Amino acid sequence: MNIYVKAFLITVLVFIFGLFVGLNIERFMLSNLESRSSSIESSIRDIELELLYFQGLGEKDSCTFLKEVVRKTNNMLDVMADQLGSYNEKDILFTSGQIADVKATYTSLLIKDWILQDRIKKECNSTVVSVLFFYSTKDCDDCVVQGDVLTLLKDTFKDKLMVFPLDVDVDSNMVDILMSKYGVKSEPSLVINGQLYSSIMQKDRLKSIICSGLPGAPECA
Amino acid sequence: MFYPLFMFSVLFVGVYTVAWFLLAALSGMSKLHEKIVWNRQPTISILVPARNEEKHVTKSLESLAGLDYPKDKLELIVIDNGSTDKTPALAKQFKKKFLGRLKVKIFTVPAPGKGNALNEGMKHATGELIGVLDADTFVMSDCLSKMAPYFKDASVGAVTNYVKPAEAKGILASLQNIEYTFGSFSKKIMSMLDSLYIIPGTLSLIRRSVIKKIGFSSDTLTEDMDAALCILKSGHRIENNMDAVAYTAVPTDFAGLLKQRVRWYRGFIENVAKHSDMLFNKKYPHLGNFVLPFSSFLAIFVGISLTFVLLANLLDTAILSIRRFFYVPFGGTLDLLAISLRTFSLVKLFVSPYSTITYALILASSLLAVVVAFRLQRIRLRSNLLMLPLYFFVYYTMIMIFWAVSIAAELAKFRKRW
Repeated sequence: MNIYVKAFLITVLVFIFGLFVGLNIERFMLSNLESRSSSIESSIRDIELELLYFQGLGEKDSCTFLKEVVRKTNNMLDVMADQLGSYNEKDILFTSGQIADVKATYTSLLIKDWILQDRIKKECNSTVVSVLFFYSTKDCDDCVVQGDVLTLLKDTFKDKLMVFPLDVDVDSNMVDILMSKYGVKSEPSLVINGQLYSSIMQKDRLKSIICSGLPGAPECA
Repeated sequence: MFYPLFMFSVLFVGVYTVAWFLLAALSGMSKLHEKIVWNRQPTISILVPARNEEKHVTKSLESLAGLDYPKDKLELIVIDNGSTDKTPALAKQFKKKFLGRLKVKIFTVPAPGKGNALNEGMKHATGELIGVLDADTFVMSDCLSKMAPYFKDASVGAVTNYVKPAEAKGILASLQNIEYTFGSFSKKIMSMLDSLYIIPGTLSLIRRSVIKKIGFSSDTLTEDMDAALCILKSGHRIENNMDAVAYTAVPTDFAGLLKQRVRWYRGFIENVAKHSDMLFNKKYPHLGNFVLPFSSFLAIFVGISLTFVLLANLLDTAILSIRRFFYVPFGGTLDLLAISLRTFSLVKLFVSPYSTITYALILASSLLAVVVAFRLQRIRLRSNLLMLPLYFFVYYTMIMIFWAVSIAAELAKFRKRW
């Protein structure tokens, strides 16, 4: 057997090893995402149920309780957004179909959460600013920077600021509906308390917009 | 989908080249230091082309005077190739010093071009063998006695030796030392597969009857590769002796290295184009089918791709950082640090599984090749251990940029011509 055949066989072995490692990394990441997605789903189902239950009772404690559940759900959603963000579609070989499904599920969970929070906000009279962040993962440096700015502000405002990042490339009717409702035509776009801002914004400007919805917040002083 | 596939084809080519090299090295392991004995000592004319080499020429010539080869069978021919410094004077001084003990001839060729100088020298050479020594290189005294016996075999057209960088201090010199240790070894391996395609001016020996028919040409930037390919084409073999050592001056600064490498790599491209009839030619099974087209060109393509993917990501990160700085002006140091870490796209490059796997496996296999090359030569790697990361991550990147520059220069020339 000459060295060309031997070298080929060795290379094929190394290649298969590489594929095997890659497949397992993909699988691990996917199962991680899927389990997170399903726990978010059950958590949101809980919110719905609790909302239904407390609605009839009109108890004051209900709001504290609901807010706590919402906070937990949001944390889970944030972590998942992070994971999905680091998962670049062009890097995936085997599980791109499943990843697209997870992304779609995540997006619908996010929108559902947004709707529920809107209701809780009205019901409990809480001062929370919610931001819909429309972004694209395709050639959008501004989106990355705007995402960074939002993350920074989220760290400052904590529970007073709710950010809902929506990937416009995800196949979802609800995203399309929201986009046409608020007139979103480009990315990055922000919808803050119902108002559209369709260009990238500096930290200070964004902060002042958020602060106008949070009268008397210590972070704004 | 495209990106991992691209990365994995890069992986395939990279690993294949290394695997092929390692297998070739291991199969030739026992023949690395073979000694050839020949009771005859052929006459040798050594050509020393020199152009403004006042710094090195004396050391170079003195090393020839110190050779343990019989002096009556030696002839030195110094060709001053249009020097404007003290080189001709130093050569004359050397001739005077060894007058009556060593035959030294000095000629002047004003027109630049090493090929012209060598051809002029050839006219005056009388030896059975021709040696070529650049005036910036010096040799160990046993060089010729170790190399000449190969010519016992009539099919041998040329014999090359083992090249080391002359002692030089600094990081760039140590990095080139690693490169030469690997490169000189791989030349031995290639010679065993009849694929050695270069006869450098480090006292390579050529049979006069062979080079006489071919001559040295000046139509490519590296006449030493051209001559080697012509020798192979004439049906002769090129051997290599690892124990005959030559020390060559290496560039000590970036600009010097860039200039040298662009000349080498452009010369390589020009020679492959000039001798393209050798590609995929059955007469040169290893050289034509693998070494020239794949292990050289494709491996360089792989190197350039990997380097530029890395550089593109670095650039991307830099641009993003600047933008971020603009949009998060008063974030505070901690904030900026946290954010940079989150979206540092170089990190992302390694977070994506397939690029990580490709980079890791190619690095591992290249490291293995270097380790094997050092081990088989019984050279301690330990003293170079600190330099290895620098070698792989910085020096290699630099070399690949030089390759890219050379390819661009050749393409520009090609376009001009049409």
